[in-house]
Amino acid sequence: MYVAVLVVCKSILQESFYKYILALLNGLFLIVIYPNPIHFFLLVLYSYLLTFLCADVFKFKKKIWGILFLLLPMLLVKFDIRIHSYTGKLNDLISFAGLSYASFRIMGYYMDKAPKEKMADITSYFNFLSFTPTLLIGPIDKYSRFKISQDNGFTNINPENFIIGWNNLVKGIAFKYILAEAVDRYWLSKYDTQSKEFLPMVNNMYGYFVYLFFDFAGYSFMALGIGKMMGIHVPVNFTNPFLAVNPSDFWRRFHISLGDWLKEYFFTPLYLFFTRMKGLKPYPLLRQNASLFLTFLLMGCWNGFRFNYILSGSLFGLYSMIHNTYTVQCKKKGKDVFFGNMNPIAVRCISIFIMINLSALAVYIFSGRCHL
Amino acid sequence: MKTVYIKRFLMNVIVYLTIAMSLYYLYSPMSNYGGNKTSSTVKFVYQQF
Amino acid sequence: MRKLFFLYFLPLALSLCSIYLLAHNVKMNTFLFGVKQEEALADYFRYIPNYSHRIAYENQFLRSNDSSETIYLLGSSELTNNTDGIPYNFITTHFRTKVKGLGHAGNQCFSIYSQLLANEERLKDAPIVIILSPGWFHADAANGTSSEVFLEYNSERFMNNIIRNDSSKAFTDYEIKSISGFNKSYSNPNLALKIFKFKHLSSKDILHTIFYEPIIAFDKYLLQIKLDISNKVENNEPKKVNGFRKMIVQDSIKINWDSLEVISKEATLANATNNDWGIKDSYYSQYVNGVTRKVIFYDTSRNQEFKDLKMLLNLLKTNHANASFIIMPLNIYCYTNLKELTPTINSMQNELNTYGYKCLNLWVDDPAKYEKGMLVDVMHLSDYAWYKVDKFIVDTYHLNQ
Repeated sequence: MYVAVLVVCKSILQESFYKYILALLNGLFLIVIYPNPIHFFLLVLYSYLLTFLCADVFKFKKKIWGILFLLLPMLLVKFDIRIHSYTGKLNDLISFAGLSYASFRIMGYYMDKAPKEKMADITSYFNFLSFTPTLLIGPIDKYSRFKISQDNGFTNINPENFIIGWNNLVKGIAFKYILAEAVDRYWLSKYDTQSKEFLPMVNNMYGYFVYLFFDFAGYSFMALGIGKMMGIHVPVNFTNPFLAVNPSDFWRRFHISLGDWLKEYFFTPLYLFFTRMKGLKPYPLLRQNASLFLTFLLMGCWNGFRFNYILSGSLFGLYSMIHNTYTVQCKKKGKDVFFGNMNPIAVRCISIFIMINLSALAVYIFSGRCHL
Repeated sequence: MKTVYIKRFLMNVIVYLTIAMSLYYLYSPMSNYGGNKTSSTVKFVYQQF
Repeated sequence: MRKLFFLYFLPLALSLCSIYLLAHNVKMNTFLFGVKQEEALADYFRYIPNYSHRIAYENQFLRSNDSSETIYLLGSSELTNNTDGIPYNFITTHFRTKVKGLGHAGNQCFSIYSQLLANEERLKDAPIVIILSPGWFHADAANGTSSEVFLEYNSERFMNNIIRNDSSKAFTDYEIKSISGFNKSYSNPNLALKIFKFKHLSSKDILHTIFYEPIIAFDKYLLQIKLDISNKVENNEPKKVNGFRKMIVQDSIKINWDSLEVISKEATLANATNNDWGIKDSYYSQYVNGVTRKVIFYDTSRNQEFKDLKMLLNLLKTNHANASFIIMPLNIYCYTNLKELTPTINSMQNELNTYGYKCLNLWVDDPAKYEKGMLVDVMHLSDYAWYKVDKFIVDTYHLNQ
């Protein structure tokens, strides 16, 4: 329906009107389908004003304060803070679907904004945060990329992009509504999550990993497809994660936009921070590993301050640290310190097998379907 | 060129039919899979009174 | 554009056509989803706890017999005590007019309201006796019918009737609002429940209406296909009936009510030897042992069950149903603060009086007036009390000359 409206508008309006039509459609979705739309509108206003104050008025040199203020609503929800005078849960007041993803985009915009760069116009900013296909579970886009798409919105609506979008949409539907549902219905649901026996636990582990991939990748492909048909390029979020040969390769294939976001806005600044610390200067490996571990720990915490999330994030952090150390050692010694001179195809197959099992284990812990 | 188009057309017909049938099988209103599960905790037991 | 049409739209159209054909094919649906014919049920029943696995009986609801009129006795857990004195046994045995009992624990006002609304065209002059349990109006039960119990009595067929019937807006709006409130507790609601939810959303404003009405129309279409196929497979297609009512035949039977009551009271008290509450020994020793309880009172303005009762009365009156009511007592020795519930009971009685419905009010909150032997436990009637109910029904519906 949205695509049809945009196609009609394309034939009668100029390119500059695209963002207003898009804002209208995004607003319509929020008002009609979204539960408690007022929460979302308030978050957009809050973050816009705060970004303006922090970046253009007070011009904080250390962005951390701005980040903390911008992330305040999400942090309050994640920490599940209660106020004594209010008998209900604060979460019920400020929590809403898509808060985390909106917070990621808000923070990304604030971090990317150069000191003298003009503030985004409110319509584009609203569209960036509320773009219907990516509103709830991403992918996490960057404002600059979104803005370029939006500025050429009507131009991007063409048969070529429609076909690309359509194919992605069909793929997404098949992944999410057929494969993920079939895995859940005929595999996962057959096994008791409370069982402590080996077979049900193994099935829960692999079943959930496969289910999560099809469900999440399906959603991402649908978002990409609908976005493309609407004239907005949504970043690719999944490319064959089951073929990953190491942890860093895995995050280049699985939930790519989150991996990129964490790398750009957390890992790199943290690594630079450690580099500036005099005591850590002689230990580059330690700096890298510490940054990697903390990045994945943050990823775990972001899902919520629960033991299974934190443990799952820590496991991914541990995998990355081990792999990073292994890579450095290989470089140092000029040879593969683990596989030696083994056939590269065999090395690749073994690596894929190890990575699938390690990531399935971490995702299994993340799922909360296991006993801890 | 025409053969390529016809091949792709037939391919798409097969793919779309498979998807449509699978969707119907999984989500048809006739399917009673998991229907009406309630998470209601209210249990009425004669003896509770 | 031609490429788009040939490679994408045409295959899509073909697959949609195939779905359409498949959706209407009875054999394929039977094969795919294993829709089976229900086990044959006896043509006639005296009592059923609910409609689960007894869908064929839905068609009989509020209809007379082939030869005489049928009084429907609707209530909750008290109906499960299948004794000689209970009306669906006593009256059915002795009179040509029959009584059918329907309900078990949890079948409260909204569940009954919804069943009646689904069969609104049968309500005119329908003899219906509703047993109001005070237990519905206190503690958690005062929040109204539970979503779980609701579905035992209100199948997709019944809900489809409500969706398609031409009922007054106030009645359907109440139904929509109440059912949409249930949706939180359904993890995978059926099509009818979804339609009610969408109808609730659609009523918010014009934007919601524009968005949700096409979805509602599509879901209604799907629901109709589903029911048509189910009916064909289950041989349960609604039969056209010319009129649902028959005249109530007056019998001339001599019943000595006093003697029945004396004998049954003695029998009840003979089973109450280990307690001075006048209740069954086995129940007392197993569940009570002298432990008293308190009723948890809700003001009628906050009592959802009371609101449901008011709508139920309104529905019955609007459709000229021949209804009457029984208000049951609670055991005064068990519930030590019964007086707190009396204002609610009085409000119920006032509502019934306002609508002009006859009511047998067995409520007692004064220990001096409470008769031991009325209840077999803390809230369920003994045969002694059931004979009083039988007499009330016989007199109200003039079953005897």
